Amino acid sequence: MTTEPRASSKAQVHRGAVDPVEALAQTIDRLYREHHATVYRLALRYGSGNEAWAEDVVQDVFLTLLDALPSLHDVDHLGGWLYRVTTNRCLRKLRRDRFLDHPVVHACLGPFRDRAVDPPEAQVFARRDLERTRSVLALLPPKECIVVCMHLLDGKSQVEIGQILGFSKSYACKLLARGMARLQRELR
Amino acid sequence: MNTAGTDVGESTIARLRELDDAYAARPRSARATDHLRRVLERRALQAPVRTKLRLWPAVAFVAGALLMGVAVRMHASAPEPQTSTSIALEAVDDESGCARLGTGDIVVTGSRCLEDDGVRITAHRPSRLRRAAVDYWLLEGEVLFDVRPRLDDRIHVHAGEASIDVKGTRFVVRFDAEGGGVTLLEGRVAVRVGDAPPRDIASGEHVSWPSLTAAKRGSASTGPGDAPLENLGEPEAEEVGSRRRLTPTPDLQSLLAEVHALRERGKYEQAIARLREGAERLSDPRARQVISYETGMLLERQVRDPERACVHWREHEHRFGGGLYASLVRRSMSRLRCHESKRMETPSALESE
Repeated sequence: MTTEPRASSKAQVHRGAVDPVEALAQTIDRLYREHHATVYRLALRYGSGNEAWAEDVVQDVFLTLLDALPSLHDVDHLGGWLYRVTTNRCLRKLRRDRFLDHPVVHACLGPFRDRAVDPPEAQVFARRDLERTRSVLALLPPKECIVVCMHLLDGKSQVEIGQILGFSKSYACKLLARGMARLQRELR
Repeated sequence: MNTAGTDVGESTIARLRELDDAYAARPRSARATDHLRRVLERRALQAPVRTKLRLWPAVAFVAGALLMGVAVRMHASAPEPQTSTSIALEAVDDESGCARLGTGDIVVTGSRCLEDDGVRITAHRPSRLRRAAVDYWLLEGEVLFDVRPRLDDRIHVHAGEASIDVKGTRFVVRFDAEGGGVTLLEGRVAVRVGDAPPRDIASGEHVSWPSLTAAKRGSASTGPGDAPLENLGEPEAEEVGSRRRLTPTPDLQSLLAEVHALRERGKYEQAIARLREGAERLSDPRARQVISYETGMLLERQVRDPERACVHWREHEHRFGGGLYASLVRRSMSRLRCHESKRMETPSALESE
């Protein structure tokens, strides 16, 4: 993958002076360098610090971006699009993990599936209070965890949360209230 | 912060932010980054191929749609049985396939028959009909009706001022601007012309009637109301380039009337003898053709002598070829299996007398 300066690759793409495949590779490279930190941070947050989990999400998100790139109109302002895709991808992955961790499913799939063990970096925080916050957040149901984080950390309104996750405003409000109550109770 | 009616302490939010910042401070491993870059690069290079592969379902769909379109178009352009029928008397065979006879206006122009509900229609010449259930109107042309015996629902054939009630028989109906006529081949039908009472005619008989327009022109002294049924062996003489019709001469007319009277009394041999005498006496070739046809019909229908009939029909074909009754004669010969006969002699039935 090329490491040419951003301005150069962008100009080449717009002029169509290079091979389309090469131009696509350059565009995705530039977008990756611009946004991978944000995506990775979101994934780490919802993955409770699990780096492998977060890497999976980052890879999924950028592969999705690669497929969707021809249909995206404004390639230079993909922050909102990546935020929505990353959040939804995390929610889907969390729900899948939660389903697989259900005792019944785990009992059925036990012989065929290795139970994911939290890696050391997810378990160790030097500060006990951060570790406690992480573990409480991990205990929240996926929807509530994501809605609470979107609202408290990213400052999203209930309407925006509903639009990003495909929920109604009232459902987003209900999830938010429930999640916050649970968070307060656990952290107290 | 008061969100959704739940108070969340600042400390909770601060702890969450602190955790998030701790995540953000974590560097990504260079190995993971390189791996993801390689994956993206590989996927980017494969993108055009995947795009091409995705075209195949679309191409297959378009090809299928085109095939369906061609099939539908071919089916739609197939000839409709009601309008492209055709007739050849040789093909009138119980085993031969006929097109379906529909209702409404029917144009019969070809060489195949039409059949429905036990009624088979064969056109001797391009004809126009109209059908509604068991009622048939011959608007123009000449048509052979072959009606299977029916217990109920008689067939009604209308041709101009005449209507024919049929229960199961074979007959030929002709109608055009000059008038109409019916020739009964088998069975019995009741013919009613205008307001006259219906009259049964026997096989071999021919009944004709003038059209209203022809009657008004004064070409005939009889109108539709009082038109007597004429037992004329009247042919339609259509020549190439003209529509000259044969008007029976008084001699021919009187001869046919005499023959009809003899036939009514069952004296068929005498009728045949009278016809042969008349054929020698009359010089008009058309009149001789009419007489020959009447003779053959007597031999075939009334005398019921296939050998003599075959001999006569061969002689008729030999003398008149594709004349006025060519199709009817061929049909008779086919029914009598004259062609299978080993007897090749063709005595001059008319001239030997």
